[in-house]
Amino acid sequence: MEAFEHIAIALAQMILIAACSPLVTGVIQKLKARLQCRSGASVVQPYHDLMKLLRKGTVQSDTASGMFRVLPALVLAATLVAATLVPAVWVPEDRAAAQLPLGDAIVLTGLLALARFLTAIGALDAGGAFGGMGASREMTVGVLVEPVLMLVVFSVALAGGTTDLGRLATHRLAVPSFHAPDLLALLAMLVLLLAETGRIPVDNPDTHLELTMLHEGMLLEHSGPGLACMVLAGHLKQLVMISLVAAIFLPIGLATQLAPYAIALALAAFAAKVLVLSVFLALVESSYAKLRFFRLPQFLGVGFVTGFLALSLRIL
Amino acid sequence: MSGGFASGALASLLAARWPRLAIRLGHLGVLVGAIAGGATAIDVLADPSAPALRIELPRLMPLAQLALRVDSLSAFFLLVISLVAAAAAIYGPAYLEAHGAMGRGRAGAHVLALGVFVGSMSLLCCAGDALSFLVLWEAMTLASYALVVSETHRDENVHAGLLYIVMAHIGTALIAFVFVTLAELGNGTDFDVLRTAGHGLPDGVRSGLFFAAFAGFGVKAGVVPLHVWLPHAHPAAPSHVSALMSGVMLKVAVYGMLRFAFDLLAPGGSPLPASWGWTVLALGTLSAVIGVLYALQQHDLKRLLAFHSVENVGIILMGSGLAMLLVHRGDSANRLATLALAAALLHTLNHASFKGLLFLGAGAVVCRTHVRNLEDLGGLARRMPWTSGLFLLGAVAISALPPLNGFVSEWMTFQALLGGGSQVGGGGGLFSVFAASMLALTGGLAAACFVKAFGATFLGRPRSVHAEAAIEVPRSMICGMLGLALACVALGVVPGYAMALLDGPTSSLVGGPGASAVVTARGPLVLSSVGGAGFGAAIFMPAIAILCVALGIAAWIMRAWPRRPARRSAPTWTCGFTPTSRFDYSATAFAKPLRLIFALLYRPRRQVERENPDSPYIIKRMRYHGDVVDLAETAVYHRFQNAITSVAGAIRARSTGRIHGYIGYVLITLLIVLLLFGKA
Amino acid sequence: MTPATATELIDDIGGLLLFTMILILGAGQVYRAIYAVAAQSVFLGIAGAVLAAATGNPDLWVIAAITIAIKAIALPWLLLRVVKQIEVRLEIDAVIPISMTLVIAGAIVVLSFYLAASLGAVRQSITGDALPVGVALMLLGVLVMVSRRKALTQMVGLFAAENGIFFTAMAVSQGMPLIIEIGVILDVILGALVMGILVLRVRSSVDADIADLEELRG
Repeated sequence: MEAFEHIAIALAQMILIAACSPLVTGVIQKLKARLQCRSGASVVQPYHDLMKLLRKGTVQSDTASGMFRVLPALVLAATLVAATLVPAVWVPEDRAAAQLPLGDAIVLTGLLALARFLTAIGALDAGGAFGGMGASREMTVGVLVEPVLMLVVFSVALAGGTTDLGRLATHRLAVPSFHAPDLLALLAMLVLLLAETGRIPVDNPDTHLELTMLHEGMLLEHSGPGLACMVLAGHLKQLVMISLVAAIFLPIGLATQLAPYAIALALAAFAAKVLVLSVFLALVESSYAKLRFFRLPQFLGVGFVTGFLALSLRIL
Repeated sequence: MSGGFASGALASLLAARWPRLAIRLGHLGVLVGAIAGGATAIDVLADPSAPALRIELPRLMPLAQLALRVDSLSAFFLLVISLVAAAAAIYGPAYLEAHGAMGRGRAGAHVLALGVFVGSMSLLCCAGDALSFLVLWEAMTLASYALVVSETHRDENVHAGLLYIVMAHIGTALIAFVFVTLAELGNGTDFDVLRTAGHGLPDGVRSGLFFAAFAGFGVKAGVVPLHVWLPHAHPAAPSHVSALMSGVMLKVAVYGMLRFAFDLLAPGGSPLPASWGWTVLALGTLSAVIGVLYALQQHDLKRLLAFHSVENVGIILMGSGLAMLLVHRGDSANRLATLALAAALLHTLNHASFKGLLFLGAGAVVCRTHVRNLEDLGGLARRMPWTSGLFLLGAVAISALPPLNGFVSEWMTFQALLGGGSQVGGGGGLFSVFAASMLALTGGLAAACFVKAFGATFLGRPRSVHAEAAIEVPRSMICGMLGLALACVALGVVPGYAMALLDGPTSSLVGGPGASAVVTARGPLVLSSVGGAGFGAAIFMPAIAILCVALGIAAWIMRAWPRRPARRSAPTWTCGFTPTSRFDYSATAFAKPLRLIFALLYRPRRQVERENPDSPYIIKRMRYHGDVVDLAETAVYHRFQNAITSVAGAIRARSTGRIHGYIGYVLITLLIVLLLFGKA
Repeated sequence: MTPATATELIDDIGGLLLFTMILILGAGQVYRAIYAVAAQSVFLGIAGAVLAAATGNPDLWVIAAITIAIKAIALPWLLLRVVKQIEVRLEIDAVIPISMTLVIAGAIVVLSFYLAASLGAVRQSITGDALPVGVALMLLGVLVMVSRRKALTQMVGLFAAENGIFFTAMAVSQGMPLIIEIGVILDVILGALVMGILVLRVRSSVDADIADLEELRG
């Protein structure tokens, strides 16, 4: 029975993250607009956009192969599965005894990489230069991001003795520590967050000029419901990354029992944490310019060395 | 088992007059042999406690008793060989017929070499004494050489073959040296004798012998910096042979290395010298990163795959090196060693299945288009849907993405490295965890590389008439690929069941309870790394796979939710121009960002020629030629080659060309040798 | 404040100091490096204040105040002024590519842990990672000076190295005598002034940077 309960709760968290993810994008856009003295679109605008896309017909490139239509669904599925793995609200008290281990950090990065891989395949499928360019750049960013993400995860995992996100979170709940390695890992993670959510020093989510796009360039040939899947996957990935930072660095407020007040508290804490990180993203995005693509190794290099320092301070 | 290979080879000889028959019979023989081998292997692996199967051969040679001996380690590698050999045997006949270029005599010779190649590989893993090991090793090398040069109409094949045979013999010499030294000490050639001799060695000699053997096997396995022959030789052979060379022959070298490290040279029950483990781990990491970095810049589909073999051997070595480092150093370290070795062995099996699949897929492309250059392919997904689907599956598996098998063994390697890091601590621990992050880098690069390879080959528009005219390959070739693809999926979704196969090898090499007691302690569906007080985590692969599929279906249904969308097709957006295949992003362009980022390593060369006859601002035609150099090849081997050439030049000056001059040299050598060694 | 919390806080600040150092190394533009070194000096001042609160040594309060006033405010202001005056190209001119510098930085940190461990007796008397972090900061500051071409960025490197020395001194011996600390700070100010004036002079009279002086050799 316990196993079913776990799966049910993991799915509930996934639905929560999926339902909130467009809202988070909306909030970030609104914050950004206010910081730039614009009134900005409503925070629910991303929902309207998604509904509009779902109602539209599809136009498919005549060079695309059969898998072009299936890929958006697979990308969304991979991202959704990644969302089941993050302990956003609830984490069982004794994770080690849990029947079904759901929530390994390496699986999480693997699933996000799978989504990236399939998106890039879809971008190349239609032919044409923009999709290829977007795919090439996105995969390059992926190459630079993944080792940094792993370094950060490892430096935290070594302290917690596991790569299981739930157990990491409970460990940090029990022994809250903000020593130098944790601080450095958090800083490296914030650098990563910008890259993984496709935010400004790395990518510009608002651009409509083909040559400057990374993620948007890959979506150029998708339309209608397929595009809706891809866009939703983008929102989701952003919230998954934010929840990941929250879960391994600020697990305060996570519910360990299924009591209603604990859940309510956890939801409030989750909302607060996401809001803080959204403000961070909006601030960075309003105060920096997009980096030249070939400056990215430097930017992520700072993240890499910081992650490496976190690891060295932890282990040496 | 050997009967199958032998009869296949012989039948092909007899039938040499009728090429089609020869090919069919030869491959049938290989298939029968592979099935027999696989059955033997599973038989041995199913019961790890049973004593090793031992067959004494009749005294063929006057000097030594030859013996075959199938213990669990041999059986595991035999299984790996049989898996790929069976798929290749199903795939081969149609490939050779479709690819053409098989004359009457050539077909017979080719199949003969194939039979000898597969047979010697299989028997090599079962060799029970030094002499048969060396003889079979040599047979394997020569047969594969024959297969590499079998398409002799190309100059590059001859060159690749030469490089291969020279490098392989340097390796063989080193291995023979180690065997001879051990045989001299133990006064016998049987492995049991060698093992007793190995136990009593002083530490310095032991390490010296190990490093000699490691270098010898490293040449065959393609460990950086000994890999230079590999990317030339593997693509030159016919594709199903490439699959065997890349997917299996490298593993035979890994087998040899494990046999020496944990068995023949091990100091029986006490820890191995730490320098072994660190060297293997460091070179494994180097091979993994360098292999995939060079793979990324290849334009030749098969050479790209060959470089990926360097990467995957590196990953296998990372696991093995960690196991060497931790073995017999206390209980919890030993459990980690079991995990690391299980990861390495599982990756061996996994790599054989997905690399075999990818090479067979590449072969399907080559046999329909006769083109290996990525820039001349494209658009095949619409023309060869089965091949492209299966190749995509292999690409996902090799990029270590869940839920397929590449991910599982890399996950285990990650866990072992992290556990090892927290177990060892200090600088060594830091290195171990750093190696894990390099493994993550490798995964990212492999994904980028396979997006490029798959995209350039199968997606977009065809960029040459060859690609335009391609059609799907015959059914038997698809069956060969399908078998390996099923293995990839099964090993990815329910890897726990494969752990039982690893019990025997791990418990015999590392001691302790074996892989399934460590990794699948929580039932066959859940993989867990060492739990308890140490470092631990667990994954539940079936759930991930099921969730992926279920949510994919849900998302697919959601697409048509408010109303069934109208569909129409239109040309791809190219800023208003009519799209042609020249708008597509080329493979070279795809890899360009990474080429610039890692320019320090690649030393890229580029040449751009512009034709602008009328005005400097109007370019009529542009020609781009870009290239990267293999640093090991230029920095080490070319210098070495130059040195040899100059020495040879010096010798030529001393060559008189007259016969008594040479006899004089022989006399002088004889005198010197007598003076040096004659006293004893 | 108990000594244990103080050590912990100093360790945390050490981590932040290292991070600012990485920012200096990774900065692509001159003014970012200057901001980063200013932030570093602020953290250093905070470290001094923490130690002062823990030990009750009034000298340390003074040093913390001076550090923040001069190194975090006055000197960065001076450098920014020079940047504006000579309208130097904002991009940093690196002798070694920046990504390579970052790799070397990682190696230097590991090395300094070994150096600190080899000090045995000294290492044991200090809890936490302050000693290796201080050594690493010093060496990384020198790395900045080595790897950058422009005089201004070298100045930044000098400040950073000096911050490292300060941090080590504070952590190891609860600070040097006040008079020496003030003397060192005066030295740095003097160095900054000389360097600034030199840069301005060279720039205004021959329109060249310090880096071009190497062309003067015979």
